[in-house]
Amino acid sequence: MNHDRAHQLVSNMIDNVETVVVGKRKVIKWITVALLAGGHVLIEDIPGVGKTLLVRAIAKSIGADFKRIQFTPDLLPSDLTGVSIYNQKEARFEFRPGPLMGNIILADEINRTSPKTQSALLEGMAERHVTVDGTSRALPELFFVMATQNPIEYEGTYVLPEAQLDRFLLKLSMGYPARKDEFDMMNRATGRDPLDDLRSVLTVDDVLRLQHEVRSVFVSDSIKNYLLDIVTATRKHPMIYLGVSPRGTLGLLQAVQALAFVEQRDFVVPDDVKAIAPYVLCHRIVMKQEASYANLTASDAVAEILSQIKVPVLNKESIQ
Amino acid sequence: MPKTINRTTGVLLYLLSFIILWQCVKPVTVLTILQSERIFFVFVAVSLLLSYLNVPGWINFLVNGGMILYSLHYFYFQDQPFFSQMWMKQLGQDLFQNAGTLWQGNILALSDLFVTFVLFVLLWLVSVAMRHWLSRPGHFLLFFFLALLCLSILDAATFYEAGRSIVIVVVAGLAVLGIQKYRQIREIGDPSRTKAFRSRWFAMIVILSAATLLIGFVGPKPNAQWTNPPSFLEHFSIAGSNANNSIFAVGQRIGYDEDDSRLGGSLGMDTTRLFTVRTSGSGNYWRVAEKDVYTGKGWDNRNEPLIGLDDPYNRYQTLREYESDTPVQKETATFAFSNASPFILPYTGQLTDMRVPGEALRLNQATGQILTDARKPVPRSDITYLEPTFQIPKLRNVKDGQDPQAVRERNLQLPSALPNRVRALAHRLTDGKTNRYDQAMAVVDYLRSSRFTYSTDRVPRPSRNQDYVDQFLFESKIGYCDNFSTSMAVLLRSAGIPARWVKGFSAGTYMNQSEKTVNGKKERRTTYEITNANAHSWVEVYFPGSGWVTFEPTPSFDNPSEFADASNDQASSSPASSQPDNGSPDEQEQTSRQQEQPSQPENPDSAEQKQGNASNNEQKTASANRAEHGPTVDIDWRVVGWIAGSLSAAAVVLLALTRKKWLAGFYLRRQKNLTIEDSGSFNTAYVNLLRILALKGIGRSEAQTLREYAETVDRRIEGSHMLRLTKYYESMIYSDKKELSADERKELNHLCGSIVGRLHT
Repeated sequence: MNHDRAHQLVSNMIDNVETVVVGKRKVIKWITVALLAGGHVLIEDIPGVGKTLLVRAIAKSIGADFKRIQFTPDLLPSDLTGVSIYNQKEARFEFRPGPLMGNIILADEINRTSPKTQSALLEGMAERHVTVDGTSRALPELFFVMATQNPIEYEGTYVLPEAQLDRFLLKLSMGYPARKDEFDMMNRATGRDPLDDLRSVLTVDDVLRLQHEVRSVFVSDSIKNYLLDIVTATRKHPMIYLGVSPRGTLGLLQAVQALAFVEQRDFVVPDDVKAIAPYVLCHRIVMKQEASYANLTASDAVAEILSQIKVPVLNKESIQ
Repeated sequence: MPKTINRTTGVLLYLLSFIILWQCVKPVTVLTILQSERIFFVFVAVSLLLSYLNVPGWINFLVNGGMILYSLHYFYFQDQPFFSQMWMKQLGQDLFQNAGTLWQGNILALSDLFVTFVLFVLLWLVSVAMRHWLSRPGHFLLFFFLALLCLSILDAATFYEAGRSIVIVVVAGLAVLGIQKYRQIREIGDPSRTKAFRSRWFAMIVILSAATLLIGFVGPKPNAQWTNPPSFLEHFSIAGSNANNSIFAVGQRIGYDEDDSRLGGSLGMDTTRLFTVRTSGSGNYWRVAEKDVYTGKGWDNRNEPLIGLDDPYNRYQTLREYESDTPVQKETATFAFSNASPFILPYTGQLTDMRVPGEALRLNQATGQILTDARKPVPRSDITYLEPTFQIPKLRNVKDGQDPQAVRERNLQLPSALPNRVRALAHRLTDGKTNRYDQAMAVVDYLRSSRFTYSTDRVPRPSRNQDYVDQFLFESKIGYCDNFSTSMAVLLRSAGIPARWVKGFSAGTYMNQSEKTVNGKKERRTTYEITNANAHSWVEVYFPGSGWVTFEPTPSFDNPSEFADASNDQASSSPASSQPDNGSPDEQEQTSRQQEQPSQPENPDSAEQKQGNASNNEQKTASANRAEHGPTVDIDWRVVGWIAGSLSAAAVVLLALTRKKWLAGFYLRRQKNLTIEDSGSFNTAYVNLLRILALKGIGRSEAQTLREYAETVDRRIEGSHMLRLTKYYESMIYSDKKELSADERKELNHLCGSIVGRLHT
């Protein structure tokens, strides 16, 4: 697949999804970045802003298998992974795959379920396979989880531990649509499911190939140093208790490559880093207690770091 | 909302710049003859207002031109109605002539009128330029710097106390810079600039200005390196001030003036002839009046009724100048007054008779001034008087407490506000001396010493709460006869010696001599010409047993009174002045000396001559290796060094202030010579372009990406060239691709060129 065609596919997909999810081009772009980078997304937002619609639109655009799991406190790991059922006719156990075995999974209200079930999901996300009844079963090659959590409820929720948050490549929030977009939305509400008209613009194989392409986006040494400067700064910041892990560094690298690819470039520029870094880094940082007194959040800290780290600009080789 | 803010800050900026400009203009009203604060205030205010309103050019021209004409009329042609052609014509001629003089580079010969005209035009231009200066912060710095420079030079080189003005200008200037920056930030239009930001910003301006002042006040300062004004500057200006008269040195015209209630300020020379006197005696001081009441600012009269001086007039009875046992010689003198003369009837010595044809005379007892009933200038008067010779031993014999009550009452008066250091000085000078004559001579010696400089220009006027004498004795130490004579009178009174201040004219310029036989006796009569420049003041000290004895505290003037020493039985006259190098040039000698040089056609009047001598003396005493004759200035290397040093310092400061301009010019020229051929030259060109942009005020912060920066640049120069160029540059430095195609090179050169082109406009 040549570059132009690959870039064309990506922009087709974004355009396609945007016909359904109005006015959320940025979020669509970030999710595309996560999809191409092979990562997963955590969306922290209230219900009803179109999370499910978005994910379904993406799934339909790439003609992939879509599964939705509503997390509840009584959900068990086997409800996700699937169970082996005894087939009396054939007199043996037969594996019934759970919803985790899809290509694109929406894990709704992930913080409502018990840690046991959460970790089953997270294992699948990280390891790309699940273990059922002692048998390890691989997940599909294209495996993309979009989890949501509701930030306003604390009663009866199990907050995701930091170690598990680390497994999400991006943490986003949808936000309310703009007034104009919401107005359009009312006009479009015809009662029919808007997804019915959505056609798929690329295949699962295409996505896998794109994921492979993304890995070859060129990252110059100066940009790599810039990434390291940023990551190191999170570890040294006076208000940050826990900085970004090396897994985060790798995640950031993949994310900037994917973003550069989405922006139809075959090399990374510092703007890519600045644009994507807050979504990659914020949920991997634990702030100190003092920070909350100063009303300083992780995204403030990251913004501060980004506004201070020197951007690599000059080509040192040709300037003495 | 932004509009009102713009208007408010605009008004504020102009108000502040008005304050600064006014502080710079104010010294003009103190140091020059243009002593109307109101005229300048209104002129500067209206000019700036017009500049603020940005009225059309022709209105600006009309209003300012009108104001300049009005001001020139006010200062120079008040005797003519404003709407008359005469003075306009004179003005036109003067401007035309002086423009020619200026063309020849003869700056010192420019007339006051022309200099004033240029000053007003300059003020006008400054107000017009203010609009430009206020629109960009960097440009205002130049004005700010020049204003401070001008005030500090005035403070250092003249007697103008610019300290407070400098403080005001610093505060106002800092405020202007702060407000300008604020406006600049608003222009960029960041929506986060809220009301809170504004109040924080202005609070910051206040705090910073206050901190600057505090540091200025508290910070350690080295002691003054120069006397005030620096002595080398003084010589510098003596060399220059020979040319007729400089507007910047002139406070008022020299001449006889009735009003002495406010003394001080510089004098301009005026050699208008007032009268000639033909006398049988020697050249004497011609007294007109004396004054008794020192107010701290000048001299006032007591109000006393006039008494008629009927024939036969016995002045001896009414005004006793000398005790009867002083040796005297009877002399006569005839005065012929010119049309320019004010109403004065001068006399000298002990007047015994005065006649003015057809007029009855009256005497003002308070001042000793003689008046006619009509009080109009008279063509001629004749006097008979006695010329005394004082016996120095007798003067030395005077003890305190012998003064008559009337003298003590009248001639020991001092204002209660007289600073204590004046009294202390008086006591210090007189304490060691045993008798009144030596005490008086001690004061004379002190005043004639090199501590004090005789000069009619650059003489300050005391400020509102400054004592005239105190200012002269302890601060300015420069002045003319009024300063010296008033100081002596006040010092003597402080020491308990009755003294009075006398004004009139010095002896004048010798004209000719004639011999006439009167009553069979040969009589030699000498004619002197007295001009405005001969106006003079001196001191008379009371000596019981001798009377009022004249003392001359002003350097370069010789005491006309004759004194006889006991050791020298002949009544050889010796001056009471203690000029060592003058020997004993009595009046006869002086007369003959002047006689020897009658062929000089442009013989300057005696006062000027004496002034020349005065500066000579000063130079001699001040520095032994200075030129002996005339005010020829040999090259003073300190002056040269000072000038060269300040010029190069100014050049460095100028270069530093304008560095953005010339550096940008340098890089721009370099940019034009650059052609992008490969990645290396592209890199050079791009980096060079970044430098130019930074110098043009569009700098990149280190945390800004090139693309963010390019967007800022494009917003400022309106276009998308920078972003397009930057995308190429990004692909060069962040990707592994290093080669440029021919099309790309062409495109890059085009983009660079158009960015540079946009920067120019």
